[in-house]
Amino acid sequence: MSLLRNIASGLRSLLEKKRAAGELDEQLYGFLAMAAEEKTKQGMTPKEALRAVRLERGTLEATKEIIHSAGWAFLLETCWQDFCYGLRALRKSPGFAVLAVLILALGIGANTAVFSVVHAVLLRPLPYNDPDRLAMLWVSDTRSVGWAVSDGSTSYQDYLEWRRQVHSFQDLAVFYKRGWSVVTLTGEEPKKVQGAFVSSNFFPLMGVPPLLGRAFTEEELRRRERLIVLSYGVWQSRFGGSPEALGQKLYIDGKPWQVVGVMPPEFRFPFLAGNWEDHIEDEVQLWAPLTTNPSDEPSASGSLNVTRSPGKARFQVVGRLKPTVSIGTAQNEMDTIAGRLAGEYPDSNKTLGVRVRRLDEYIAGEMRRPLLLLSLCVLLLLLIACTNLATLSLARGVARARELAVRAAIGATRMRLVRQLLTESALLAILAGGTGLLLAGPTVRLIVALSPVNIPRLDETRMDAAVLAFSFLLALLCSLAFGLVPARRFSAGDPHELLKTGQQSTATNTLPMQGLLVGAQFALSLVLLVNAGLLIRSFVKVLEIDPGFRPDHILTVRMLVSDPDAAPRGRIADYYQRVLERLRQIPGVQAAGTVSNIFFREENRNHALRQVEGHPAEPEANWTPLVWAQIGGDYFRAMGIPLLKGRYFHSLDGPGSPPVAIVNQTLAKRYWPGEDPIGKRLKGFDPRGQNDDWVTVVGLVADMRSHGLERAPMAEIYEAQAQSGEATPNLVVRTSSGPVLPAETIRATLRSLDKGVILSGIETMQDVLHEQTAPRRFQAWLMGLFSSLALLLAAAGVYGVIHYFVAQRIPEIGIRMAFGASRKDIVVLLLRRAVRFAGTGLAVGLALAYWSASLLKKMLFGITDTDPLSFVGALSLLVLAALAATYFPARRATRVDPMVALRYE
Amino acid sequence: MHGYGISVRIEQMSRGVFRLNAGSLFLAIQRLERAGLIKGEWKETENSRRAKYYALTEQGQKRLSSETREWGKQVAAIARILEAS
Repeated sequence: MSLLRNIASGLRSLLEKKRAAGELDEQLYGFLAMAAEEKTKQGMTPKEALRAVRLERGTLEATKEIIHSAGWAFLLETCWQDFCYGLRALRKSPGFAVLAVLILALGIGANTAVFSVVHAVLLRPLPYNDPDRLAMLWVSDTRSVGWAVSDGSTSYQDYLEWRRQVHSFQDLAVFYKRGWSVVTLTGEEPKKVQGAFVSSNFFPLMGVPPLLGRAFTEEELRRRERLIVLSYGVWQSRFGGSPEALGQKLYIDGKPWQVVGVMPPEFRFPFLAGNWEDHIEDEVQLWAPLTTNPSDEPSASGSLNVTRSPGKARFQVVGRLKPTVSIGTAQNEMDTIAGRLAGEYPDSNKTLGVRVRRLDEYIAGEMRRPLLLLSLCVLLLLLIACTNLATLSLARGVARARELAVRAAIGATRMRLVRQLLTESALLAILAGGTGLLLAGPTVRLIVALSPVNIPRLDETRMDAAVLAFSFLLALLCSLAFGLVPARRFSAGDPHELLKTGQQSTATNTLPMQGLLVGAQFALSLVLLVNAGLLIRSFVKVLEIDPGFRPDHILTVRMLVSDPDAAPRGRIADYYQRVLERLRQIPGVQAAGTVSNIFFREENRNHALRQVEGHPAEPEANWTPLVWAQIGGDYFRAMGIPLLKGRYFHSLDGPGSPPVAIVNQTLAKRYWPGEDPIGKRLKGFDPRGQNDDWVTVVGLVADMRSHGLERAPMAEIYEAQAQSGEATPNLVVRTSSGPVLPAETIRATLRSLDKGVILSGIETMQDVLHEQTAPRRFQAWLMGLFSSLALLLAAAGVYGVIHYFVAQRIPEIGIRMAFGASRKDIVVLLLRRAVRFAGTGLAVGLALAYWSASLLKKMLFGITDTDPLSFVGALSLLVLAALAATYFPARRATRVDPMVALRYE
Repeated sequence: MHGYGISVRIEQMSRGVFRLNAGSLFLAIQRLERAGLIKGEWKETENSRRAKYYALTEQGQKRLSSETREWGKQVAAIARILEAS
C-alpha cells in the first residue's frame, strides 16, 4: 500500500513537476517567512530577520535541492538527463558515434549469428523426454587404422545380448542404420521419402508419445504387420492434417501400409546415416516396425536375420540410462560386455568394442568442433571490438577532459560523472545491439547457406528469445567493459589539475593505456588471422587435389527402378541397357555409363580378397580398405578415368563368359607390386559370398579418390554389370565441351523408358565434389570473414589512436617543425609509435597463435600447424594494416602549419 | 499543524535541544506523507497566510503508539544497561 503511494507520489513529482515543486516552494517559503516574522517580533528589521533565518535554517534553494534529491524519482530524472545529454554528445560527434556503433554492431551481430547456430545445433535440449539420459551405442572396430572408424553398425544378435546383459540402461531400442531410402509413395508422381525401421520400444524409450493415434506393439512387430507412424510433415502433405488419416492405407512400393499414428512436428529421429550418394533427404518421415524392412531377406524363422556376419551388422542402438548412472559407468559396463562377447564369439566379435556417447553429442557429431571453434573466434572478434571501442572512447575522453573537468568543478560528484559516462556507453551499446541484431539475420542465413548439407537441426536455427537475450546481454557487458575504462580515468582526476594543464598532460597519461589496448587488438587479430590462414590453406590444398577423374562436363543422376522386388534382375539390366543406348544417340553425349557407387565415403572397414592366385592368405594386419564396384556402359570414359593397361569391358563379357575384372593402381600395387596385373586371377569378396569363381584381371585403370578427396585412393575392383547382375543405379553422362546438356533431356529420356523410375536431382559432378568440400568451405569462408573483420577493426583501432594522438599533438608537432623537423621526421615519429603499439601486440599474438594453431592440428590438411605461409601472411597483413592506418593521420600531421599550431597554444 | 508550527513545537518541547532545519523537516514530512502516516491540507493561518496543515492518519496513530511503545522499551533497556555498567 505504502509502496504504491510512494510510486504514485514519485510519479506525480515527475509528471506534475511544476505543481509539485510549486507546492513545496510555497510550504518552504511559508516556513521561512513565519520564522522571519518571529524574529521581527523580537525586534529585528525584516531584512536582518530573513538573513538570520537563512543562516539558521538553510537557504531556500539548498533546502529544495535536498528534498528534491531524496526520492527515487530524482534518480530517474537525472538518468534521463544523462541519457539526453549522451544523445546530444553523440550527435555532436557523429563520426565517433557511427564508428563506435558499427564496430560494436559487427561484434554483436557476428556473435548473435554464431550463437544462434550453436544454440540450434549444440545447446538446445533435444525434443525428447529427459534427453540428458539418452545415449547412442555403436560398435568400434579396433581393426580400423588411423582416424578411420567402422560405420558403427551392430548386428541384431549383439543388440539382443547387450540388452539382456546391461544394467546401466533402463532399456535399449534398435533401428536400421540405413533407412528406407527406396520408398515410393504411390499415388502421385513417385516420390522418395526416408523411412526408419524401429523396434517397438523405440517410441516409449524416446519418451515422445504420438500426437495422434499410437505406435506399434511388440506383438504386431513380431507378426511383421505393415503398420506405419507418420511424421507431422507427411501427415500434413498427404492427409491435410486430418484425423481421418488413422487407419487409412498408404501405398509404399506398391504395398499397402496401415497408418496407426502421427508424431509431433519436433520429433525428428533417428538422423539416419546420410545415404550420401542417394541425395535423399535425411529427415525421417515414416516409422515402421523393425521386422518389416523389405530389404532384409526373411530368415527361416520369419524373424530378423540374426547372424553375426559382417554384412548383417546393420543396426544402431539408442539407450536410456538409469537415472543415477553416468555415461562413464555405462561405457565401462559396455566394455565388459563387449569383452565377454569377444570371448564367446571370437570369429565375429574379436575386434569389436562398444562406444557409448550422449545423444546430443552424437547428433552434433562432426559439427561440434568447427562450431566451437567458430564461437571462440567470434568471441575473440567481440573482444577486439570492445577493446577497439575502449580505445576510441579513451581517445574521445581525452578530448572531453576539459568538459568533464568543468562539470566536476561546478559540483558534479564523481559518481555522477561515472554515471554520465556509463550512460553514454550503454546508449552506444543499445544502439549497437539493435544494429547488430539487424546484421545477425543475414549472417545466420549466410552461415546456413554455407554449411554442409547434412548438419542435423541446423535448419531449425532461429533468432529466438534466448538469442535476443544473449545479444542484449552482450551489448550490456560491452557497455560496461568499454565504458568503465575512460570513466575510471577521468573521474579520478582532480578537476583543478585538469583545468590547469588542459589537454596535453592527460593525453600523455592515457597513451600507454591506448597502446596496450591496440596491442591487445593486434594480438587477438593475429590469432584469428593465423587460424583462418591455416584453414583456408587447407581448403585450397583440398581443392588442388586431383580427384583421379575429370569432373568437368559430367552430369550424374541416380535412377531407381521402382519396386525392386517385382523387377527381375534381367529387367533392370535391360533398362540400363536401353537407357545407355538411347543416351548415346543424343547429340552432345560423349559417353555414358552406370555404376553401383561412385563414392564410398562411409566405407571404412578393412578387407582382403578371399584369394589371390599365387599368394598366401593375407594376415588381418595387412588389410586395407577395398571396395568392389559394378559398372555398365562406358563408365570409365564418361568419368575420364584413364585406362593404363589391358582393355575395357565389352559386350562379350556377359553372364555366360568367364568372369573378368578391371582393377585400379592401388589394388595392383597391393597384390602385384612391380608386376603386370593383366591376366592375374583373384577370388571373392563377393558380398553375397556365393560364387567361388576365379576372376581374371583384364584391365588396369588409374586411381580415383572414391574415398573422399582428403583420403588416399583405396583399392578398387570393377566388374561388369552384365556379369554380376547387381544394380548400378548411378548414371554418369559426359557431355561434349559445348554447353552442358540440359538436365531435362536426360530426365525425359529416362522417364520415357520407364514411367515408374524414381530419379534423384540431376547434378553436375562438380556440384557433387562441391558438396564433399562443403565442411571445409564452411570453415574457410567463415573464418576468413571473421578474421577480415578483425583485421579491419585492428586497423581502425590504430587509426583512431594515431588520429587522436595527432590531434592532441598539433602544438607539439608545430614546435618540432618550427625547430626544423622535416615532414619525414614527423611521419617517422608517428610510424615508430604505431609500430611500437602494434609490434608488442604482434609478438604476444605470435605466441598465442602458435599455441592455438596446435589445437587446430586435426582439422588441417596438407600443411602443418606451423605453416610458414599462414604465419608470415597474417603477420604482414597486420603490419600493412598498421602502416596504412597510420599513413592518413600522419599525412594530416605533416600539413600542420607551425605558425598556426603555435598561435593556438 | 503546519511545518513551521511543528518545528517551533518540537523546539519548545525539547527545550531548544532539537532545532529542525526546513530541509530535514520537509523531507521527513514528505516521507511520512508518502508512507500514508500523515495527511496534509491547505488552510489559512491565524495571520491569514496559506499553509499546509498536517495531521496523523488512523494508520499514523497506530504506528505512533507502536513506535512509542518500542521506543520506551529500548530506552528503558539502554538505561538499565548503562546503570549496570
